Amino acid sequence: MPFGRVASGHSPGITSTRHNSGRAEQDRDAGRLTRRALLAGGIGATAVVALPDLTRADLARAATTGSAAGAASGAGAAGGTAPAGHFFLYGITTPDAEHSAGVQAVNSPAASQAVRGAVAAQSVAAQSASASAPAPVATGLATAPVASPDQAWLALATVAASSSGPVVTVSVMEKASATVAQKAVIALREIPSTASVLVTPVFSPDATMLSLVLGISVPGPKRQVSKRDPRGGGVTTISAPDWRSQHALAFFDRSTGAVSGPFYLGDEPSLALSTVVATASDLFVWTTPDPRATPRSKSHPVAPPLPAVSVFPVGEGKARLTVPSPAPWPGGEPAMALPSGDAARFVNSRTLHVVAAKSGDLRQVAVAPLNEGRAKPSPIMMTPGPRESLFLAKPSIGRAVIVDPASEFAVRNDVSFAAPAKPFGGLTSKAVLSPSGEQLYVLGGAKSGGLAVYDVASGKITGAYGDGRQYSGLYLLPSGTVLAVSQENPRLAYFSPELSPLATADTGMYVSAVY
Amino acid sequence: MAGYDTAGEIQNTYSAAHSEFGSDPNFWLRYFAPSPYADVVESDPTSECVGAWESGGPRIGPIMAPDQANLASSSAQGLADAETFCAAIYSTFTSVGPLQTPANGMIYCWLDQEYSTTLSLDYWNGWADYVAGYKFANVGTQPLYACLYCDPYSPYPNCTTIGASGAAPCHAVWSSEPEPCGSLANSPSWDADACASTPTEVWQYGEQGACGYSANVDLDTGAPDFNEGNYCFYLSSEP
Repeated sequence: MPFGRVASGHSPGITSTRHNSGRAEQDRDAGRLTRRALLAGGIGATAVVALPDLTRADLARAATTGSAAGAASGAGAAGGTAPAGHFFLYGITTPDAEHSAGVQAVNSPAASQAVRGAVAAQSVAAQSASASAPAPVATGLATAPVASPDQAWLALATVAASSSGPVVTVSVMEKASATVAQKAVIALREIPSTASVLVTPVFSPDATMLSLVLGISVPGPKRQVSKRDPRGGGVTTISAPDWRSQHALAFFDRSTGAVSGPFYLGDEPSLALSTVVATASDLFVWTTPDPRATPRSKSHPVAPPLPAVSVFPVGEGKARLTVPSPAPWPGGEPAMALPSGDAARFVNSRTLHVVAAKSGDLRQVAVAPLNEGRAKPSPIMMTPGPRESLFLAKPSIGRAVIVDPASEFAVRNDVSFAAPAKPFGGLTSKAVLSPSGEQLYVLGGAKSGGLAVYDVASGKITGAYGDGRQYSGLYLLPSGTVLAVSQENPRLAYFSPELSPLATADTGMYVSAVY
Repeated sequence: MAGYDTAGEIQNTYSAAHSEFGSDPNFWLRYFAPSPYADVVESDPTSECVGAWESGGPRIGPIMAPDQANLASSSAQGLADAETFCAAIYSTFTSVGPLQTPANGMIYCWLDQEYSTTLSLDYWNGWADYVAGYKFANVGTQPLYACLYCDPYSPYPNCTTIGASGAAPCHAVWSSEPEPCGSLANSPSWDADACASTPTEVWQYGEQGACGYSANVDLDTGAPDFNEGNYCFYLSSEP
């Protein structure tokens, strides 16, 4: 079954064949909210593009009305169902524009007014598109957005330099309405304005507390560095500072609106990267000392430093325990809170490190089905599963499991699937568990491309769509529609839960993640 | 003068590679932190170096592969990733006595940009500037050079980023395409894809998945006038 293409849709983002309107309208109809259009909307150099969250019913209605946007609205009204809400694209539109990272809300038509209101109220961005149009919500982010465990909220962090030091602003956006619900501002008055600040937000399990770990790197005086030209043989002189990093914590109690911190941890010099997990009562922070803090020489070799994990009571800047952690150093590995209140990070793409909240004791758990390597790095997806379980997927070896943390991480379900052509790169999400835990959606195998869905209980494939396209990531939208992202337009492809193709859409955005 | 790259530990990889390809590698390109989906050298550098020595390829070059969404992010993310990368390289260098910087004093440090990944100018500049200026505190030198592993013909921004006005210098490209495969002893004639702005100096001509290799290695070679092994750490004796 081929993809549906809306023949005369008015919905921005839905591929259209109508090109007899004005330039701006053509831009929207073509699914590209162009840089020019964005500039007209006051967005600046950050360009975004958006599409409605469509279901099969929306497309069926579109076939009769000729308007996907109208169909989507009508479906909600006629069916009595709530708007599907929003999802967010994160990425950049141009490789050569400074501060070009941006987030874009993709909204159902019924919620578009709320989106515009939110955007205007926060002065983060503005957009001039019509109902159901894309809604740019933030630009110049300091780090990738972070979603709450229940996927209801999104934290967006920016850092601005001021004469009194860097200022960190975190906006908490409600995903359903795409409105910025709250905003927290943390001024780092003790820090030079030239500092580089890496912000790592993390929500508590119930999303009422937002903790921030700030990796603060301060440049020293610049020194002249002579570098030999590897090709020409000449010498180039550059000026470069030595950087020294430390960490600080801040806490945003969303129930009261109170911000506490920054609490400086006094761990300079350490490496700015950290791994962070929040439970209802504790904040786990893995950090690594800077090896230059210890005298080193070739005649007296010293082993690389070990990381440490500290456990902070939420809201406090003093750790109640700090213990050494086995390698590897923290920095991007999946990590999450367990139902027990302990924390786990998945390291080396094969082993769980579980830290007990009470004692700091660490257990290493090998997840046997995933204990297989490849020449290339093998990304791991780790998300909460049904009934307080843990979902783990390793697309490079075509394997996904559901494990039970309460039973020594025993494997409840084990599904094998064909490994995709490019298991590493682009979007991290290449295997997704349905909310019920009954279906596993994966990118199709290297030969077939497309997508596939498996019954988790039996491990058997129950559906597939293969058009030869190699998608780089897939997501389940709030409506239950499956969204696949590919490298070239139409970059967004919508599928029913059974993997029937629904629609495709163009976007001028290089999508790095979907929320 | 071909060598291997691998996300596995050298000491646990080289025997299978030798069995499959039957000769010694010229070099190993290995992952250092932050590479959250790989084994990283600084976790056990002595064993890695013992493995490299025993493999007959006593040269190790560094690559880092962060979560790929990082590459579209800010300069602060690039700087923080580079800080950890350089610290991992430096602490490995100072933890293994016989591990030496190359005679030319230049170590090529590779940022892994996969096919479907977007590289922002902010991230690249934060990363590459930090790498270029990193000083080995014990010897006072700055031996690290920022380089990019990528697929030059990918539709995602890679060559355009490192070639942009205002981009920090990129000293070499390691191309992942094409993949004619081949063996370690008989690498194909040089045919690597290239960016307009930066020469391709290393070519991954054989990737495990595409070429059906059983050992957890990919095969790489240098350009006709370039020996990647000369831009790696080398072991002066058995660790």
